[in-house]
Amino acid sequence: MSTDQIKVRVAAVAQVAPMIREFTLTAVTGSLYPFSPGSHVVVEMPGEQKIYRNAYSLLSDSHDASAYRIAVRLQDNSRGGSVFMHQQVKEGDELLISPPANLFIPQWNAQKHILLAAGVGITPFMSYLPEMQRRQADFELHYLFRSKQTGAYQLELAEQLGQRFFSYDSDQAQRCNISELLADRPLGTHIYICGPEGLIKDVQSVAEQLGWPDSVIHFEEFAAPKPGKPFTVELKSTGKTVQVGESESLLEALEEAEVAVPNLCRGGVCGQCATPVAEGEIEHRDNYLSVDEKARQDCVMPCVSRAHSDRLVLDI
Amino acid sequence: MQPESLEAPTNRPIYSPVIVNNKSAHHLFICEGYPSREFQIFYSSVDDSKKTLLLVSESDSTIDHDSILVTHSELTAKLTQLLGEMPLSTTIYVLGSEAFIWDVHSVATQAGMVAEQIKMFAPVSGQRRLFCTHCYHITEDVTHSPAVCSGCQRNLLVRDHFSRLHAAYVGVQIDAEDPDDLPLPQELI
Ligand code: FES
Repeated sequence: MSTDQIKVRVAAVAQVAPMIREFTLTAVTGSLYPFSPGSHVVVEMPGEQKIYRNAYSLLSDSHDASAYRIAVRLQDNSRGGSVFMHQQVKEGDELLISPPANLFIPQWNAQKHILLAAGVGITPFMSYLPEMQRRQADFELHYLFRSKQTGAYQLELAEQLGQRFFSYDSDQAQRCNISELLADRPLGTHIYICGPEGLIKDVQSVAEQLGWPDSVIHFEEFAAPKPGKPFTVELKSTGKTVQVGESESLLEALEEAEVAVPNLCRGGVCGQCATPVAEGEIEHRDNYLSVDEKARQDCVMPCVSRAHSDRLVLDI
Repeated sequence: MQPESLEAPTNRPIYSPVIVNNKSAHHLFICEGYPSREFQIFYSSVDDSKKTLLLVSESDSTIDHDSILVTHSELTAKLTQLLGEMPLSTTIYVLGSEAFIWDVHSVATQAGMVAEQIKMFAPVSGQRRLFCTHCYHITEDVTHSPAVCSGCQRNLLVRDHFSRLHAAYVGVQIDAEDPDDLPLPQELI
């Protein structure tokens, strides 16, 4: 257990959509850290063969840190993390989590906030909404889901938000037209997207055609690291070698071998885990490094990126 | 003796050449005082239907009957109102003193604009707005360092540290220990 981890107790488990479970976590001793809207925690999940660590957004009102709530979608090709949360974790269990960190902060200068959530991507907005209402911010929530799988909280959101809430259930053939959603927006509008890469890309390409500045588009993609071909990583300083398996990330393999690498989002967005590379060809999969930085092939984000070559030498 | 802070690392904004953002649906030109010839040429390169010109001056001189003229004290209110009517795809181009362009920057940011939408021409003069770290008073149009604070009358060393928040350079008392040890004023560039 790393020193800053917090031990929490699972106070309640609830099925909030066919494939989404919500967990309420309370402190085992003392109290939980306060957090800001958009924060997440990294939950440690001891699987059968190895430990998984996934980041989950905090769902609750940031004015109430008496408990944290997270929601976990059972992933179709889960590497173990979400299966563990769905099948193993019961009320009364204890878990280790990181303190909250925030990489998805609302831009309070915005005149208008468009929140675009897909499926379990509703989670970060659950902590935005109470604060936006308190501040009387102008916002709209557009929620895309498939009611046979996801769509958590849709009824309570519809009730609470009224005119500000727009839902699109693709299991009822309701589609969200991104071009219409973005058209004719006034100056001062910011959009926040939490969903799959495809949705983020769609918004970016429509926005680009409309001449929107890039920085008004904020997104969070907590994609779990995708599998890839196995490779060997070597530490230049000590010559130590570590095998990275098909279904584990480079970061996970290093952690297992007790090589500490700082990290925050574990999803290729924060840049915390940046590690210099001395040799080998990197397969970049992060959203942090620029195109130029990627081309230099001298730095890797081990939380999501891998190697094209069979061997990668890290300059650590 | 040279005060050591003169060698402190500088934190001055860097102004890159300004070009028209052709992707923008609207272009807002803002100029303090009479627009330079260059600015006029730049302004005329954009299609009439897509642009607005805001001139900020204490005297009413217009170069274009379509321009909007305001005084410095009216700027914030007028600019906020104009921005409220513009599309998201708007770019601002601003020319003036350094304090002026950063005032515009701050009004635009408050309206939800992001940095890449605000294009700043290099300041037209080396005059600086000075923020006194002792009495928090602002002294405008400072050209030499040390300069006298118009609030507390202290002799301030004008540091190369620009505070975006105050759109001003930071000034610290230079002769606090020895009132006789006041260096000769040097022109700021
Ligand atoms: S931990 Fe955030 S980029 Fe890797």
